[in-house]
Amino acid sequence: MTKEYIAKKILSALFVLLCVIVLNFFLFRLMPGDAVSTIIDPNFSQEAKEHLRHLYALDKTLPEQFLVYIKSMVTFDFGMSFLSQKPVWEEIHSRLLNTLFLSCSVMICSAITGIILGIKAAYSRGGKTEKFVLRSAALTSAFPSFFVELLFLMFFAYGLGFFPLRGTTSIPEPVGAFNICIDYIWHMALPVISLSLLSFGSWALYVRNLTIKTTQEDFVFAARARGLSEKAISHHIFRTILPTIITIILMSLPGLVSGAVITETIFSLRGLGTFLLESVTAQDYPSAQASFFLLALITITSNMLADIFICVADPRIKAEN
Amino acid sequence: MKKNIIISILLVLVLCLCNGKAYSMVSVPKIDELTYLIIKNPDAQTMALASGAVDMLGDLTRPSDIELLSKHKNLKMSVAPMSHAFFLLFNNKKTPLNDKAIRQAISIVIPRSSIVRLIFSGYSMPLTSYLPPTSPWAVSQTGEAASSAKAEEIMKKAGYSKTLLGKWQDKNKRTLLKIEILSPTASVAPTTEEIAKDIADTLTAFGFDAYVTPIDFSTMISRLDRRDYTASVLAWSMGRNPDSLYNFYHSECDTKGGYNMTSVSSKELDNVLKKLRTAKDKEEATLYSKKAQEILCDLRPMVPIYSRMSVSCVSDKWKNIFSTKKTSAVNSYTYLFAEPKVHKKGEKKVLRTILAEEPRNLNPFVASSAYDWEILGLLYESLISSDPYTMEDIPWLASSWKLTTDKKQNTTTITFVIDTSVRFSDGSNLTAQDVASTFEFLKKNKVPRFYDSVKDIAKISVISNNKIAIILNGISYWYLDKVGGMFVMPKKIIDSVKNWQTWKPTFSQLVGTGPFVIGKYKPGEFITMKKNPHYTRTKFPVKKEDLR
Repeated sequence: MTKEYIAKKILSALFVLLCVIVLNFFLFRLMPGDAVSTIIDPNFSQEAKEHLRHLYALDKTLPEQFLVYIKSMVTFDFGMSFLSQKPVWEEIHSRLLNTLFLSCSVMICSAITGIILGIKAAYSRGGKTEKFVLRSAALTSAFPSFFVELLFLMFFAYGLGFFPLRGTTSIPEPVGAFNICIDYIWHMALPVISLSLLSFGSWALYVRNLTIKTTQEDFVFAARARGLSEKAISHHIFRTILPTIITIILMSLPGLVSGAVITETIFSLRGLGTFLLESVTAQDYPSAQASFFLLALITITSNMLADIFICVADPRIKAEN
Repeated sequence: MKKNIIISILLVLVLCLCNGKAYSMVSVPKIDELTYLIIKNPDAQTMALASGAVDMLGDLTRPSDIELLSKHKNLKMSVAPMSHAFFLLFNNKKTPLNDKAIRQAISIVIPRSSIVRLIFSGYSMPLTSYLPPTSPWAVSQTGEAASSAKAEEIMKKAGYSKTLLGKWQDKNKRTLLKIEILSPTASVAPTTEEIAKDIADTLTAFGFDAYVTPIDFSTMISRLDRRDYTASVLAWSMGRNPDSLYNFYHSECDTKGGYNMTSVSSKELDNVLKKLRTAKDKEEATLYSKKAQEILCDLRPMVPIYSRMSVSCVSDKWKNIFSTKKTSAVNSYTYLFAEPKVHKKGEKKVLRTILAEEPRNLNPFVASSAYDWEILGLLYESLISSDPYTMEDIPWLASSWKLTTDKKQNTTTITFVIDTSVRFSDGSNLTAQDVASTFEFLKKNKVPRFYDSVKDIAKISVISNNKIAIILNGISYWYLDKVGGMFVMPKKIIDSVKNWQTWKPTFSQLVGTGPFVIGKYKPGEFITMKKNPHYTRTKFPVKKEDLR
């Protein structure tokens, strides 16, 4: 992998980021209304609304607003949220742990389970394992997430009482770091299990299909003809499908952050997904812009990392470049 | 004999105190802690209450939840009207709704009762006034029962006739223009869109061509602001005072973004609303409030449809829960008087309830959501409060007040006598200086939420430790509610605030005269309110029989 290749990827990522920054600004301004216009409170006079618009700097010209916006994006000082009147960065930071724990745990659980089951299904074509994987994958993918999660909440939390109904901590809070950690894991278990169960199926199906396709490639027949052990062949097959798996893992990272909104709502978790949704619906420009900017940053970085990792995992791509 | 008489007199006195409105208590709150669990998901809220994880839940909105919880043997329900009001708005400058007769006919033909019955299973009430049913000023006039015959009579009297296809046509035999009803989308407000469709169906059956256009809420508001619409459905929470009628119906407020979204313009109405705004006393206010509502009932610039009910549910493990015909069980008086029916000695009395949204900010200067004020409302109090039975003004931090007007100077002066026996949660006594500092700070900094309440203050004079005079520009009876309804903070805290917008108060800086202080707050999880040790109020406007 050459330095030139990496520099090219970084430059291309920066260009995309710049485009996103500009679009991010105009997207919200093009939407009808603003944060103040949606105040429907007869006790709030037009004069008071105008004063609020001034405080939010919404009475400034678009170029002036754009300059303030660019400065805030570049310095990562996203300003004050219109809704909470707190620094946006503080709002994001306070929600980061729950979202990261949820998305990383779900990613690890669903990807590992899906990859293992997918490979097993591919190697036992027509067998019980394949049937089980295919049916369970179809079943879990068929239901909408809110339905399954609500069902889990009703059955395991309300009905059986195995898990808590809400949040990430018991009341009163447990004492001691160890007890706090255990309590946190207990609270997060149901959201992680339900979301993992909903997403492992697509992993399993994808890996199964990829593995079956690869086992039919010429190099596998050649390896068998040369008398390589099945273990060695499997290793080669896995090496072949690895770049695709890495790409999917990295590309699904942004989706995990924004896609956790339903899980966060159902299990009453304070996370970034709900923050993003609330910011957009309430036209809280600073918060929504910051959230979209960070999501774009994660997407572009994941894309760039995927390009670089693929090169490491598959030397053929390096040669082509 | 003498002894018996004395005992009898004493007994009568005790009974009077217990049964009268001023129900005395030795020390309140009776609970040690009030815990708010933050649960956003309505299903999880219902499950938490049914499983006993929380003791009470207020503001139930979904009929399915209400039905489910009302069947639970360990839970008690209570229902009361709210300040919510839902209207069908007309653009009074656009044909065909610029004709009063058409607006009146539409108003009569809409079946409010069946909307309430079918969509809300009866857990709402048909709205028949331009003010919410909780307002003591509301005059019910628009009539509840739908009548197609009466509506047809109005239309025919105004010169309209029906075609062979049953559609209304004007004097020149031209069919009336279609009526487009704007509504938020079903994903944002499912019941609102359903009601809009019901109304459109009713109007079509009556002979108008009506249809619903569901659009994004912000886009809808933007169109209302520009008056770029024919009809629309919209709900809001209104105050108890009729002064808000000025903002909604005075032609002065028919500006881009102004609240007169119907563009109604009537010299007579403008005149009455002006008089209502500048009423010098209650008598005048009552007269013009009634007159304004009478004119509105004739003009029908919009149609009142329904008002939501406040439905609360409480576990039967608790006693002394306060509810009346006007207040459902989850309220500040319940938090003061509630006690567990069974209590082990030495055990903390903790009442658990639910907060459906995260408080966004606990800085009282910028806090704006109802959830922020659910918490802050237990910390801070105002000079006057409202009677839970009549919704009339009652003394609170101010033991009395006097409102005088000066026509020559065009000013209103309100003199408050402060109850200096009241103590803040840090133990210091409330003084007139604290009140003056709070009001001056809000005015000086033009704090948006309180801007309308303080903008007319011309001068604040501290007469003595317990007396303060507030002079306001202009004459208005409503100044009393505006000024008297503002929260009061200690002067020393006000003086320590450098920047009101970025102020991050610690719990020890959130000092008020209310019954609770914040014990612990874990964002996204819970807020624990602790009993204010310096809360000394013992008399409350509640009747003993309403504590169940």
